[in-house]
Amino acid sequence: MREMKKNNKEDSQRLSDPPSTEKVEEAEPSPFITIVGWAVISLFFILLLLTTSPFGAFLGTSEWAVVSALHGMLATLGVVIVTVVGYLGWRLYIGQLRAYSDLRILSILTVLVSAATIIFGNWVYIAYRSPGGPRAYFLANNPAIHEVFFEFKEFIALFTLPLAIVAAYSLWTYRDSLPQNKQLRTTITIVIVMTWTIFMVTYILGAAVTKLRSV
Amino acid sequence: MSQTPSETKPNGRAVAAMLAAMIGLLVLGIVHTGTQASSDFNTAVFNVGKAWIPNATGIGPYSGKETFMLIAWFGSWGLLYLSLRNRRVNLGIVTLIFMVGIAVATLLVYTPFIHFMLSK
Repeated sequence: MREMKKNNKEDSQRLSDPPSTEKVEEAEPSPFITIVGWAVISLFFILLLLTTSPFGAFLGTSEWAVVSALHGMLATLGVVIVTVVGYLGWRLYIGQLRAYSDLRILSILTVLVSAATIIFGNWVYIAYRSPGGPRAYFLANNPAIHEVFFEFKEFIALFTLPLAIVAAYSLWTYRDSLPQNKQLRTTITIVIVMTWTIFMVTYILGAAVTKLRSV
Repeated sequence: MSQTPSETKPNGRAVAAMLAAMIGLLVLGIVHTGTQASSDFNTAVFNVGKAWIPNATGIGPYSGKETFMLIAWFGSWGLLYLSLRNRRVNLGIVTLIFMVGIAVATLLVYTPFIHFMLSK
């Protein structure tokens, strides 16, 4: 009887005690498992989409379809990344950034995506300039689209790479002293904001031109 | 332990990177404006691009403009790095120069401004 009472007391105490932090952490999946799980599920759906849907029709029949799609997708990815960098840059400016390593890693990603987008942009520019391509169409029907908007877009796109490299280089070179160096934090934030602005202008102009006439 | 400003790394390396990027983009704008002003210069710029960029014929003089930008950018970065790496520079003034330089470079690739400058 005494044994039963003891067991009941232990059971009720176990139920009333909040679970310890260690137990909760053990129950949660690790970041690695979360990322791998997400990747596997995404891959499954991508394969499903590629094998069961007319994906080629979605891209278009142009021989430049894949190159131009990659250029556009990289630019879209760049917009997402540079926007996150812009937010972290704001936190850096006001001195409330804790995720310095996140900003450093994303700054490198911005450089890589910017470079890749420019390379694919160069590639797809061949199609844009080819006889009967979008440039010929715009010059015949609405020259301002090429002469003002596209030309501005093609050059301003190149600005993103040096600016992104300045930001990434400074973030990595001064990673130890940055929290104490307000002046440098301000300068880096200015460079990040410029990168974000130019990236957005380039993206919007590129999307607008593609909407009017794609390769 | 927090570092005092005198203990931190000299800001010359960041300044060198910023000024080099600005110089590269200004050269891009100047070369682009030059190609709009002179067809001979345009041909010369195109020939520079054709010398090393694959399929440069497809992208025209743009290839040469990119080339000049890269040479000016990385060339000036190397020189500025060597001369500024251990120096402390007034970052406020450099940032102002950088912003004005990028603004001017932006104008130099904007066709209406080029036409206005060249009275076209």
